[in-house]
Amino acid sequence: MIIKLDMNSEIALYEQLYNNIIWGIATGKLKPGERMPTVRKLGIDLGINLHTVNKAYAILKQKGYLSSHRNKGAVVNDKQFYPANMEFREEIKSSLIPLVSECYTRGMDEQGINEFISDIIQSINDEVEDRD
Amino acid sequence: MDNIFNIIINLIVFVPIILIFSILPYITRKDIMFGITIPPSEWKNDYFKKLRKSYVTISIVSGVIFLTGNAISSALLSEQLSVVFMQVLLWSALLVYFLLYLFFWIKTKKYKEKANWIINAKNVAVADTKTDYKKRSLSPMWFLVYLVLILVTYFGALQLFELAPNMIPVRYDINGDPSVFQPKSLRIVYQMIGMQVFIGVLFFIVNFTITRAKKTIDPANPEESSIKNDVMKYRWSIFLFVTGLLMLLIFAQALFSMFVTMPVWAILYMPMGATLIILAYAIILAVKTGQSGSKIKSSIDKKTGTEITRDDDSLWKLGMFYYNKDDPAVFIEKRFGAGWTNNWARWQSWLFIGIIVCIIVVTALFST
Repeated sequence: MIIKLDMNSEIALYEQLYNNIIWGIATGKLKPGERMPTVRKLGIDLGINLHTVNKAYAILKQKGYLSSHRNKGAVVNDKQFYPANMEFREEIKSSLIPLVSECYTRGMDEQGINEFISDIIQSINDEVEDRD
Repeated sequence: MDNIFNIIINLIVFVPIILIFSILPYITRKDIMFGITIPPSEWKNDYFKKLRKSYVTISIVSGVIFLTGNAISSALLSEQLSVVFMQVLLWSALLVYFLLYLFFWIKTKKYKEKANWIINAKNVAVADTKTDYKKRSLSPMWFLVYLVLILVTYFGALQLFELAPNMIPVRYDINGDPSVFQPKSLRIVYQMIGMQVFIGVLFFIVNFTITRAKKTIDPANPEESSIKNDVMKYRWSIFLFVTGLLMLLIFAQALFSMFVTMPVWAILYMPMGATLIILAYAIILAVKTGQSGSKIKSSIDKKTGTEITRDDDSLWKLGMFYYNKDDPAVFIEKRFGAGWTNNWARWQSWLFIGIIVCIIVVTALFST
């Protein structure tokens, strides 16, 4: 999968890297069991600090998306390692609150907000279909 | 015979240098002109066409002047003096090519300052997560062939050593007749095997380093350029393996020729032939593959962009020395032409160049 980071963006690089990898897993560009490049390799190819890559990997591992293998380095996990359990739902809900309330403040209604989400799901599915 | 040999040596030394520098503008990516980023669509504008043409003309003309100068000097001067003169000419040639590049770098830079190009350089970092080294490097197992070859050379040399006369030829004159003899000793065998081991290890390390060096990906066309980059590295990997192999064979032949009588042509022309093969291979590979694999044909139709998508001129001092503190990479692709260079903001680069200088100095001291 191609990872693209915007070096001028306000979003922190480790966060962009995290988002890129999650997107890759969602669209199936990164498959369960697939090996990820080492922190060093990815840092060199991207031309960014190795600590930045390390931070993104650490969070991905902590949340169950990646795991460390003794010989293989970081590997993409199977779906069972990151279920949408209660804890996850709570976390996502709380991070959606400011976004949804911001939309609401500007007069967007429920339908408008739902359209956003449908669009995002659609674009993920489009990517998945492109693969098959 | 004497003259023909001189001319051949002269050609072997100067022609590759002339060729390597003259083809530079034609193996580089279309978005970099003399080390300056440009919109790919501008590559074919009249000014740049003229610039490339005059670069190549000046490059060839000055090369021919050096070549003739050297030919005349080797005809007029004594053998020792002409060797020194050739060194001087060689270094001057490199200096001239350096200045030539610098001159065209400045010209392009000035042109860019005046041109109103849309710089849409988003300053993005791009990488491919694929970790498959098999696609960009020959399997390390191939280098076991080196080991076998060195062992064959060693045991073969031991066998031949027994049969050899007590005085063995260690140097040949230009007619292929032995000129210097030495009492035979096993030391020479160990020296040559030592050189072979050194070369074998060196090529293994270089192959490892370049195939794992930073991958330069075009953000405007990442998937395709990632594949091309892999193909490019794989081709250079094969080239390195073949080059190392030929060098090991030359050393094996040099060693055997001390113990058994070989035909004159083998002693004179086999090392030369191998050198020519390596040089021709390198030049053809550079032209066919291009920088980052840019000359590799692809199925995808690529439109030439009218915008600058990467603008990292400031990181390339004088258009050729990369200095970027924020980049952890030590080895990166050259700015202009095919090959690799260093990130001089990394201490590892200075260690690397230090080791190389040490090796050169040590070998020079030992050989005198």
